[in-house]
Amino acid sequence: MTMIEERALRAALREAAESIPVPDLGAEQILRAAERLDARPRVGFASRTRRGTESGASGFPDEHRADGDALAARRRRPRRRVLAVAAAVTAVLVISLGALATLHGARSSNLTASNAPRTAAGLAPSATPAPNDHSPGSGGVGYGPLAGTATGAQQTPTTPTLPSGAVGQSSEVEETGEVDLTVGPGQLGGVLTRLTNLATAQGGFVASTQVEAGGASATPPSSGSITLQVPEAGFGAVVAQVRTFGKVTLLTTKGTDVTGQYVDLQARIAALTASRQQYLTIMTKASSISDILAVQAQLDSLQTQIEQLQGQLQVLTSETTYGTLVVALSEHAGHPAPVHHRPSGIDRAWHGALSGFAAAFDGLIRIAGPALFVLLCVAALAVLGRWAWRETRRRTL
Amino acid sequence: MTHGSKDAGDLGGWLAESYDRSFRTACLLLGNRADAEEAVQEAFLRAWRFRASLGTGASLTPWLYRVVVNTCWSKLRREVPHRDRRADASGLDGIASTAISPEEHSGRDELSRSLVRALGELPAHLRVVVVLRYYADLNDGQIAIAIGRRPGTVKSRLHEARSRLAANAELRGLAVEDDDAAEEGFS
Repeated sequence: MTMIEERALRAALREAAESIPVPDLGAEQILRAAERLDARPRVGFASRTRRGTESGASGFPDEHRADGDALAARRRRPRRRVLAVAAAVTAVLVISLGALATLHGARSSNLTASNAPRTAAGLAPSATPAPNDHSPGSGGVGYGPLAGTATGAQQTPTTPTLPSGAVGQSSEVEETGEVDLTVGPGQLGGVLTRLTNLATAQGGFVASTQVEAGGASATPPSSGSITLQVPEAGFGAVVAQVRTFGKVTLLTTKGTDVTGQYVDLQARIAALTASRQQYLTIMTKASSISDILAVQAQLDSLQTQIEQLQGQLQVLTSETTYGTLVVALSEHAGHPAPVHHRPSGIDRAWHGALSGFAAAFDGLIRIAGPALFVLLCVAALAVLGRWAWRETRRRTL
Repeated sequence: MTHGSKDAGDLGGWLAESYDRSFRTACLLLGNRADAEEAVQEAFLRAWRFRASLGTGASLTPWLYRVVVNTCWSKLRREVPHRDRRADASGLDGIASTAISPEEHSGRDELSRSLVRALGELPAHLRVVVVLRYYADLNDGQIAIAIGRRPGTVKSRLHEARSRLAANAELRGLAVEDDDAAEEGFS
C-alpha cells in the first residue's frame, strides 16, 4: 500500500490554490455590508435571488439591497421551518378537534335518541337508533355464557323510539325479559317467595311457577322457573332487584314497540263502530222484512269484527301494561366434602414439583407479554436512534 | 493575531487578511467560484454577527475555518446535489485551468491540475481534511475543531485520503511507501 507524500502534496495543493484568482474587493465589500448590518435593525432584510452573487465579482451586485442577504437567507430558512411546523401542529389540532366534535355530536345524538320521551313522538326528532340502542323490534340483547360472559351482564330496559306517524299517541311498548339465576343449595324456595313478593309489591302478579325438586343426594340440584307480570313502569326496577337474588348467568330484556298495532286496532274499531252506527240508522228506516234481515246480518258481522278487534286490543293493552319477566332458577351443586388423607412425603414432593413447574410456566407466560412490549419499544428506539445518528452523520462532516 | 477584545476594527482587519485563504479553501472544497464567494460571504457575515463568541489567539483561526467549512458543507448538502456532480468535478479542474495560462503548463502545473482533479473525486469529508491540513496548514487539533470531530478521526481521515490519492494514476509520482508515509502522517 502506498501513500501520497506529504510535502509534495502540500506544495502541489498550495500551488493549485494560489492559482485561483481572488475577487479584488470581496473582503472589503463583505465587511462594509457587515458594518451596515450592525447599523440597521435586524428585521426587514432585502430579498435577493440566491444566484445574485454570480452577477458581480464580489457577491454584492447591489449595495442598496445586499446588506445581510446571506444572513437573511439563513434566517428565512428556520422561519419557514417554524412556520411549517406550526402549520402542521395547527392542522393536527384542527383535525383532532374536528374528530372530537364529530364523536361528541354522534354521542349526543345517541343519547337524545335513547332518552327520547315515550309520549309525544313528535317531540323526538333525532330518534335515530344508535348501534347499541335497545330499539323496538330489533330484539333483545342477550348476555350470558353464550354471549361470552359467564356472570351475565346488566341490560337496563331502555325506552324505545316511536314510529313516525304516531304523533299524539302514547308509545305502547311490550317489555319482556328473561333472567337465569343460580342460587345456593336449598335457597330455591326462598328465592321464589322473594320473587313473588317483589312482583306483588310492584303491583304485578305471578303468572306461572314451575319447580323441579332435586333428589335426596342433591344431584341433579333443584331448579324451577317463575313468570312474573309486573307493571311496565316498574319493569326495570324489578329486573334490577331480581339480579341481586343470585348469580346471574343470563339476562335478556326486550322491548317491542306495538304503538303501530295499537293505533291500527283503534282506528279499525272506530271505523267499524261508525259503520255499525250507520247500519243502525238504516235499520230504523227499513220497512220490509228482507231489508231488516239484510241489515241485521251486516250488523252481526260488524259486531263480530268489532269484538274480535277489541279482544286483540285488550290483549295488547295487557301486554303493554304488564311486562313479562321469566326467571329461571337453579341451585348450584354443593361442593362434595373433601376427602382428607395424609399425603406421604413423596406425594407432597411430587405435588410441590408439579405446582412449581406450573407456577414457573405461568410466570414465563406472564412476563412474555411485558417482555415483548419492552423488546418492541427497544427496537423502535433503536430504529429511531439509528435514523437520528445517520441524520447527524449526514449533516456533519 | 489575538482578538480577545473582539474589537470590530481588529476583527475586520483580520477577516480581510483571511479572505484570500478562506476563499481559496472554499473553492477547493466546493469546486465552484460562485459557490465559494457565497459561502465565504455568508461565513464572514456570520463571523461578524457572532463575533461576541469568538475565541482568542490560536483558537480564532480554526473557529473561522469551522464557520467556512460548515457553510461549504451546508452548500454541498443542500444546493450542490441539485446540480450535476460531473460539472462540479470539471469545475474544480476549471479552477486551475482558467487560472493558469496554456503557456504555463509545465510539468508541475500538470501535477497541480491532476491533484485538483483527484481532490474533486474525493468524498467531501476526506477532501475537507486534506485542504485544511495541506493548504490551510492547520494541525490535527485545529482541524478537529474546524470539522467538529476528534483528532483521531482527523488522523484516520487524512490517512485514508492520502491512500486514495496515492491510488490515483495521475499522482503516482507523489506516492511513497506506506511505512514512510505512516511515519510522516502520524508523527
